[in-house]
Amino acid sequence: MNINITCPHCQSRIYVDPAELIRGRQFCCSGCAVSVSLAVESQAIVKQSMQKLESMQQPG
Amino acid sequence: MAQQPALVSMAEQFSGLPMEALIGAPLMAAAKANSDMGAAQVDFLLKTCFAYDKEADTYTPTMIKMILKRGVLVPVDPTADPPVDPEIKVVETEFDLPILTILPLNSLAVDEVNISFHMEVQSSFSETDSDERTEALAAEASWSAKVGLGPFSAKVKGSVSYNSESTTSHETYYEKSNSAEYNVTVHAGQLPLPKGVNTIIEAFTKAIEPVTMPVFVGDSPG
Repeated sequence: MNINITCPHCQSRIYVDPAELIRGRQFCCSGCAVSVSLAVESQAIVKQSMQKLESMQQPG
Repeated sequence: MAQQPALVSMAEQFSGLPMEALIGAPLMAAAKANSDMGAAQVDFLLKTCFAYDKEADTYTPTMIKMILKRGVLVPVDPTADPPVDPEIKVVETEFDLPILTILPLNSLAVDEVNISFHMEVQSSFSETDSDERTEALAAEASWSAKVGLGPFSAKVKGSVSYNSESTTSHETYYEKSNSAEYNVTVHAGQLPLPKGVNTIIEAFTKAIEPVTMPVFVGDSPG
């Protein structure tokens, strides 16, 4: 599931796949062509939060 | 003839049904499920996306670090000898983002409840009477006479038979049956995020401010 964040440079929408973001992928802004990625030191916390979210959404 | 048994009163059959419970119970269960799911999501948001400060009794959003890269055109130094071509350098900027804005949150909730109740009451009564009567009458007679030398003789023979049969039957058929079927279908789907959560995410997203990396002079920050 994609989410979007606001580009800090041009305020356009950047569509980001959180799972790919954790893997270190960069996402480009369609407005100004800057690329955003997740800093290595934040990868663990995002991964952990994603796992918690997935386990919450699991039925049963 | 005996008095006929009364047919089942349909109104009586249906008036005893607990319709409030039949309709209300699944709706209440769906509402409770939605409430539980909402509570679980709020719990997740507060525990995962915020850090709770006990002393100040405040929730501070958990931030993550993002890296923004963009190309910057470096102007040509007119005094350079030999002249160099203009080049594009990639500048790296860090900015903080609340983790809340990066998680694909959604609201799973019961969005449709179908209740169907089918009840069939059957009541039938039939009565058959039959009366059969048969009569038979049979008569037979014979006569004979002999004329001759001897004395006159005559013989008369006769028989009469009468047969009478009478059959009466009475059949009564009475049947009453009822069957009921109760179906509850619940469908859960993704609902759009509540407006409140969207507003919070929007506010955080708009508040993103780039933080410029310190300028490096040689090997250490200047």
